[in-house]
Amino acid sequence: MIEKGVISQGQFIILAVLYIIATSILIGPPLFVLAAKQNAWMGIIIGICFGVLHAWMYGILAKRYPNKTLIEFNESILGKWAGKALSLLFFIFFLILTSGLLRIIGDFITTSILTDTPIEAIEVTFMLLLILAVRLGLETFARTAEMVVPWVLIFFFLLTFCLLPEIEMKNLFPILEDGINPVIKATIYSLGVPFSDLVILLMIAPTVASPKKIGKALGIATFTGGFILLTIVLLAILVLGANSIIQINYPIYILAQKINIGNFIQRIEVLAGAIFFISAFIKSTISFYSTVVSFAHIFQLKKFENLTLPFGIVIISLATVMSPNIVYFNNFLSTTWVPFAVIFGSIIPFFLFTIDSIKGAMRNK
Amino acid sequence: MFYSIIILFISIGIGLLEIPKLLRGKLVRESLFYLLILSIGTFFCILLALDINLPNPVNWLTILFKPLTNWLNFT
Repeated sequence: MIEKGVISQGQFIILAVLYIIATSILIGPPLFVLAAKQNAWMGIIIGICFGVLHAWMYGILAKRYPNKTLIEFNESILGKWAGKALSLLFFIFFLILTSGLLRIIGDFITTSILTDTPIEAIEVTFMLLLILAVRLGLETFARTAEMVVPWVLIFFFLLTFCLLPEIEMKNLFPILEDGINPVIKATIYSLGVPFSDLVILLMIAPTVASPKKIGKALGIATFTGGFILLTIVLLAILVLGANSIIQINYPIYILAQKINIGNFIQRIEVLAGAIFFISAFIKSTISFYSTVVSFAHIFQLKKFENLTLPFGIVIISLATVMSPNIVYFNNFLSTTWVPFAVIFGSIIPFFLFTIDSIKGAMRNK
Repeated sequence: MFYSIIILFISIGIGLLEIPKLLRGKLVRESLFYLLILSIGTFFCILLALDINLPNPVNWLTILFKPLTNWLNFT
């Protein structure tokens, strides 16, 4: 393990919660609603159950290899060469995840807030922030997360309470008009967008002071983050209606524009933007950190902080190349990204878990 | 053309700033990888600045995951 910092369990939970809500509250609602219309919320509830199962599986893996990151323990499970190959695949996954996140942040700012600014300017500025955060180390940004999480919660509750008068219950009906299949599809989407990505937290799991309780911490985080996501999706369905969500890129932003209390408190959509910026900063920092650390592990380098600047340049070019326009990118998210993330977040860890259990049972005989 | 020269200068500046530090700490392997990744990144950024169409890795992923995607949309 290269990282020398130690974070507490509470900080780990906060990082995980912010990691879950970051992109899912922004790009999640249109995806889920596209799959299951007004029944999307049921899909998310099932998704949370699966998320907790994932957390339990990751927790057991982290417990068996308390001092090893994901990249290191898959080498000790699969052997040197197969492990290295799998680690390289994980590295590519992290790289694409980081560039995609940068792209989502850039797209959101250029379409909603700074409409005349070129996207590259925003990506470069944000990348400099990420480089700074990773160079200062895991402990520093865990404390940053601890400092900013109250604001996310305050803005979230403010948004929720201000939207309660706008709710129309008729938007929730009819329930299950097309049977159960669309709900299952929404569940798969919810696995792809927030819950499977949690596998990346195994990269920082060994730095937690009590590695035996990772499973519990991840479970709590999945539950909290899932609850926030569920509330946002339910509010979007209840206030805007399923048919109009599909036509909007960022429902949470439009949702916050709807707030109007006595013609006095209006246009507080930047609060919704703030929830996203704060959590997206944490999420992209974690994924950028994991990209660099996994690279350093694979090629057995002694330091990873120095690699942040060159990787920043690579990620900026990848973020520009990967999406010619926002329609293409949204299409990529709703089709290819979901199976891609589910393979890396659910299926590969499940195989690692099974192989490791069989090996453990054979050793005990 | 102008932007690509600026990018080249920035990258050379970054390299000159950081690689000597790594070499002073006797981290030869690290500095080689540093140089490699920095050149890859600079190369792609310069191609982008010159408006040359680069192959999109996301397209390859889309082709690779086509069967799974189709199956997902079918159910």
